[in-house]
Amino acid sequence: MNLSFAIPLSAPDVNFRLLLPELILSVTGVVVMLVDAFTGRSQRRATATLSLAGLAATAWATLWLWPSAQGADTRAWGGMIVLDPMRLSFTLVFLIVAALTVLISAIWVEWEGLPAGEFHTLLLFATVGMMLMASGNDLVMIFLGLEILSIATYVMAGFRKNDLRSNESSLKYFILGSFSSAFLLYGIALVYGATAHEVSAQPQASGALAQHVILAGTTNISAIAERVNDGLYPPLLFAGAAMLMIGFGFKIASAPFHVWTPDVYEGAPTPVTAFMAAGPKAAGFAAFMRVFLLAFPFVAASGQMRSTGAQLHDAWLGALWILAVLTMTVGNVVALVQTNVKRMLAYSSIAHAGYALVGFVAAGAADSAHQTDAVAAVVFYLLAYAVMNLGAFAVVTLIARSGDRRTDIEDYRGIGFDSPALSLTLSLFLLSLLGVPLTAGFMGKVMVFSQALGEGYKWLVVIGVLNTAISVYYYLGLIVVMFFRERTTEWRAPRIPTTLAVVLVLTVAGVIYLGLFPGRVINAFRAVQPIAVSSLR
Amino acid sequence: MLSALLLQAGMSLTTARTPAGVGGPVSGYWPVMVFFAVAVVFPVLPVVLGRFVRPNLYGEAKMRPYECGIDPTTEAHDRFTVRFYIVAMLFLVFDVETIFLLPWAIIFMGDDFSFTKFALLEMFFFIGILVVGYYYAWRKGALEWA
Amino acid sequence: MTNHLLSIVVFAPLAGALINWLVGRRTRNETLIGFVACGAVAVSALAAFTIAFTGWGGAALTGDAATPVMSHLWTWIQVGSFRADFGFAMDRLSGIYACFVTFVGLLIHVFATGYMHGDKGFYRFFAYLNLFMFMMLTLVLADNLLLMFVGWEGVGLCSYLLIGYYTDRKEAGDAAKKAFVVNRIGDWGVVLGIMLVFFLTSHAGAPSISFFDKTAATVGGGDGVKSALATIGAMPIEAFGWQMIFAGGITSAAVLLFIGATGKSAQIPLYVWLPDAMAGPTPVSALIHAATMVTAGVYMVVRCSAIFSHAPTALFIVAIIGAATAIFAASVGIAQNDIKKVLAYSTVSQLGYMFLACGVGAFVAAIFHVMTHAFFKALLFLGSGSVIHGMHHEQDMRRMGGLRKYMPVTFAAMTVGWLAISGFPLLSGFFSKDEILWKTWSTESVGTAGVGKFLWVVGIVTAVITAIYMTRLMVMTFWGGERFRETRAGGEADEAHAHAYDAGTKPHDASLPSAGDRPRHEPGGSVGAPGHDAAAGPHALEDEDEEEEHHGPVEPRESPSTMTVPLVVLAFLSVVGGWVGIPYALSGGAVPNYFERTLEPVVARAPEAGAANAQGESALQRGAGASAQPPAAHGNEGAVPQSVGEGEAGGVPASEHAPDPAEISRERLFTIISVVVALVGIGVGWLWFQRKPLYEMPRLLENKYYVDEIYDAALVEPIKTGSREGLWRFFDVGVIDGIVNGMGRGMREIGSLLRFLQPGFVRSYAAIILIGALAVVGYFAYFAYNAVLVINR
Repeated sequence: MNLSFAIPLSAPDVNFRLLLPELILSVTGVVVMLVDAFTGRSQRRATATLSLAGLAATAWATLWLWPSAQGADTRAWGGMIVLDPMRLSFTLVFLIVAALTVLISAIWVEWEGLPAGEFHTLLLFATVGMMLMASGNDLVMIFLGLEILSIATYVMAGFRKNDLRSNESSLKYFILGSFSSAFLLYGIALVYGATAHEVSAQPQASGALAQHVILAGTTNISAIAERVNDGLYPPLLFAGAAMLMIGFGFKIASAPFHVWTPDVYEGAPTPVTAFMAAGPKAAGFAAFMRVFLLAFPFVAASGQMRSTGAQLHDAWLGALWILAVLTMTVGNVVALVQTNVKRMLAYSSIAHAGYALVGFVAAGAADSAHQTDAVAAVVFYLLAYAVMNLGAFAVVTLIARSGDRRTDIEDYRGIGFDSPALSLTLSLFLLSLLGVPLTAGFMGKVMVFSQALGEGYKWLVVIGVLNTAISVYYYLGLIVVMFFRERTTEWRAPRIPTTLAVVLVLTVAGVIYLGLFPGRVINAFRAVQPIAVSSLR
Repeated sequence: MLSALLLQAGMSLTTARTPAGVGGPVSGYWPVMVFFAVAVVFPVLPVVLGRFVRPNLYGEAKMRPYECGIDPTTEAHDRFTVRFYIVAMLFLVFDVETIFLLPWAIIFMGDDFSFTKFALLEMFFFIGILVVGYYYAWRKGALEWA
Repeated sequence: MTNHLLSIVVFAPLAGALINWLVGRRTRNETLIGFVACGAVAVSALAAFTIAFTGWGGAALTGDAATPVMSHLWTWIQVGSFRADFGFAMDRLSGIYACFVTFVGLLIHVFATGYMHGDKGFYRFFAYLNLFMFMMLTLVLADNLLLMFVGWEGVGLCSYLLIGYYTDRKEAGDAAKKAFVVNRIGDWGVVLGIMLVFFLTSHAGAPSISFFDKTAATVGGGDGVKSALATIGAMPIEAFGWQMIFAGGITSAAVLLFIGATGKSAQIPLYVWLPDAMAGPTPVSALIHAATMVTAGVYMVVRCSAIFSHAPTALFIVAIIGAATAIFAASVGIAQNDIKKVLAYSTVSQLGYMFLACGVGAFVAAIFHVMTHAFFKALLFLGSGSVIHGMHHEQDMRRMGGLRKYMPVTFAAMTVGWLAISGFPLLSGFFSKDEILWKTWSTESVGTAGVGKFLWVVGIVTAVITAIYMTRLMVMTFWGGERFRETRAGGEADEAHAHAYDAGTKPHDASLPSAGDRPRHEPGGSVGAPGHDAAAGPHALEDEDEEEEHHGPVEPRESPSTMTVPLVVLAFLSVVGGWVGIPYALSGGAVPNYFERTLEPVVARAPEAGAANAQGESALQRGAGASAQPPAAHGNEGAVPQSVGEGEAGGVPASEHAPDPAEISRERLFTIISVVVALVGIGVGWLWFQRKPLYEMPRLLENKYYVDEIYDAALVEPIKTGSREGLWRFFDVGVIDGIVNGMGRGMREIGSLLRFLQPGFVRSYAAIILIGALAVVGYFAYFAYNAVLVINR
């Protein structure tokens, strides 16, 4: 059977320039892997330095691409990859997360005597996956990125091979992650089917195909948007969108797809938990927002009735509203009764995904002029969350010591004045997570809530702010435990290693900078709206 | 009234574009639904039926793992050495390579030489990456059995 | 006009805090730390007074023009139309606040150098205290709602740090957490209120959360900002009715803001944290929990008077809550035995007065009372601190008595405070309280016109109780037998007192090892040089240490001059502080009512029952902080009739205009009633407690109506249990797992489908995800069905 009528084979329009960040990081990953393989185990510093250099080079490439994000030349691989500020700003968030994770993990790798090269390689590949999720303009591309990310994080979660908790965490993550990937893939397939069009094929002279109409769908996000109203199978489109929402909902840990989070976060090594709470979650948001905002926009029909596009838009926006409320509430309320710091921070990360979803809802409801602002607000929120969360986990890592032994809230009793540097910075991060003014967390909340309010989501904001009020209790609880409780067990203040000191300085500076001068960052993020790239098909 | 007519006209236009044999928006899915129903009924029905049909006689011999043969001496869920999995994974890697190479070879000589050039380079990259992975596995001792 | 000296007012204390934290922590030199801390506040005060009173500074307070002095630093947030600047502004309202905050703050700082002498965390204490000043000034001088909220949260945080200052005491930590959590409950109201203001102004076409109009020149290029208050002031006044609270309009915004105010200013139902907050050091109680921070709620309500005056329902609520709090807290205060607890409840009660004034539309009177209250309540707290210090950290009044001959200066100062708060004629409290009561009686605003008389009765009863409990405090402390000897000796006297507390559920404060406000002293006495001045000498290290060791009878002694000098200054202010606001009825026009004349232009007026919506216009002009108006509109000349309010037909502000004689004579009559009430209260208190200083108060009052216990049982426990048993255990584990197990049992029988799913809880997780997925798909299916219907039509 000759299928060549559909695809004229010529060299694809690759446009390597736009792929530069991903390429640099992939090559770095491979190089780190080779260095590790060549030199054996004791090359912790070499691979860490190499990884940081690669991340820096990638960041440079990203910044270099920034000015051209508004130009005409914004697509690569025939529209599978796009260049827009949304991609670039998310990429920066990922790079910051990855770099801080490398620094945080330095001490931990040393304690545990783990193969550092492998860890750094996995981390870099996971970062490449995240970047592809943010830059993919095609569902298949996004799925690929997600799998690259997921497989690397499955391994990272179980990196402490001799610890049952770590194994359990990895296994749970793997099983449930595969489960959700299946949803995502099914959603992609359904969307492809739903957007089927007659292809104006030149029928071959003979064969049964000539008598039938040739149908072909699309996975290209811009093409989906064009076909939303006149796809052949509208119900499939709804089912597909629902499946996609489930898949992405799992990645960003929104209730009720959050259930894996606490167990996985608690069991995974602390630096990996820090990474997972900040990076993959942001990547999930990047893809989630790109797909739903750009592929399923509000499309009015020509007639008086509600078009399929409008119905679909109603559907996902409504569902997202409910997810946001559920996520915030479940995260905060359940965090109240946790006795393990990592578990508490896991539930807190669920709650924060809920706050970010509030901004997402606003972006969904906004017209194109305001959508930029709302998207920028969400990215800003995720950046702020990444910075303060990584800072908090850095402290948790140091206090936990090797083997993640001290992660119960009880272990924090009265450490306040014995190691003021650690407890004060941790308090700052907790206050920022809580949303105390002049910190990054507050700015982030103001941004997403004001966007939601601008779109008229009063009740969503009311619920959001109420949730913030609930969250005081457990964040403050930890501070109280640190400063006001008598210590019951022997505790020696740990020496802060240089790498971790660097992390703490950077994150503290970040939290304060983002809280005081958010203007520059947010302006860079909203330089231009995520652009629609016309497909080749 | 007029607008309703126009709407209907628009509707019929849409229907007209529906390819033959696909049917209406809902009825087109009947085969899928039937398939789904069959998929559910097929495994469930024998078990449920069997429950009613079979005689319920439990004896000591009947409750054994196998009604004949030798009693098992170890757990049925035995643990295999992890090396098997590593070998399996390595096999998978090269398996995928082969799967990828075949369609590549078929369309390699396309209508356009630019594609051929591109495809050739691309395959070198692909194999290069695989070689790196293979080398890594080798260095890490994945190929050593003992 | 722009004057960046304003930023110095705000940032000087921050610099002090940083220096103390960085340098003071290393040197531990008390002289240096005290000097830096007091110096920072002094610089701040100097700058504030310069801006407020001198022409060079901008004469924010005294100038003819009611335009604010601005200091725009940078544009903080700009997302879409949502904009907040990092900029400060001092108009007449914030000017008054800034002046008394810095001045009283300075005095309390000086006092604290004596009070905290020898404490291990001396540097930490002053760093926190300076940080608090920074946050408080940010709150007061912020030029928009969001920056005000920064200060709002910031003072809450510092209050948290300072309440929990004695970190080795569990109850301090609990009290601190309680304060913060309760405040956060109020804060969601503020956040939502701010959001709603933004929402309302957006709908009016001028999105803004700024208090003032800012021109492009002020903000240094770009677009200017229009005042949100002016925008809201231009809207029609909302109707009076309960449904307005939830209508999402101005009333909703006002109510939300007021919820925040109840948290910060300790009003019913969120007052519970303030009495517990007395676990902090006494200077903290004086500064934060009496003079400044707790009045932030009043500040916000008055600042947003343009909003409140358009929401009669909200004003009504404010008045009712204020009056209820006033009488409720006063009745609790009468039964407390801890000297600081009495003052704490007194503060709550006085704050109730202030809100009562706001509620009846007398915003000026509210601010007047804030100021006088800052003087006399700071005085009383510092006085009590001095007593506690002199008594070696004994706070229970049942173990005091007869102190007046031991602490003459403290006694004299406290006497002034006592008379001032009781409303003794010609002292500051007399004028402000009298004005509030008179305005309450004569209110004509839409909401409260009907209940004004009733509220006045509540107010007057509160005044009586206030006089009684303050007299009780004075009598128990300074007169009568010297009970501190008896109790320490552990003789009969102990028996006599025993029933008073032993029968109670709680043990006597003093019987707890860590009771009261007890600075931690360096064991070796190795603190820096003791001498800020000579008087500190005798009261030096040895007997400081000694008192930690043994609890034998100790002679009370007068405090050092670092502590008594501020007392004297505050006592002076408590006497004369009220003279700037003598009402027309009393002075007959001989002494102008400076206070009212200054503030009139910057506050809105409550809508009056008779006046129609035209009132909205005037409220606009007043509510805008007058910045939208030509400068000469108000002030002495008062030529332009901008308000059609009461007594202003002649085009003269109410303060200048002579009201009709009947009105005056009635006001005079009420003044006399106030005086009589105060004297009666003092008299009753004197006669009763002079004879029975240890008279046992009703258990219900002593236990504060069991409100804490009720809150615990009704709110805290259910939430905790609900979270633990409900959402987490029940939902995440119980139900889902139950379903899965049930299903699994069924399935096993049917087709052993789930048996080979993973062991542990992964299956439940998968099930939850599956159920969620089904819900999502179902939700989408509903819309898909609609879409199909449309297509098939």
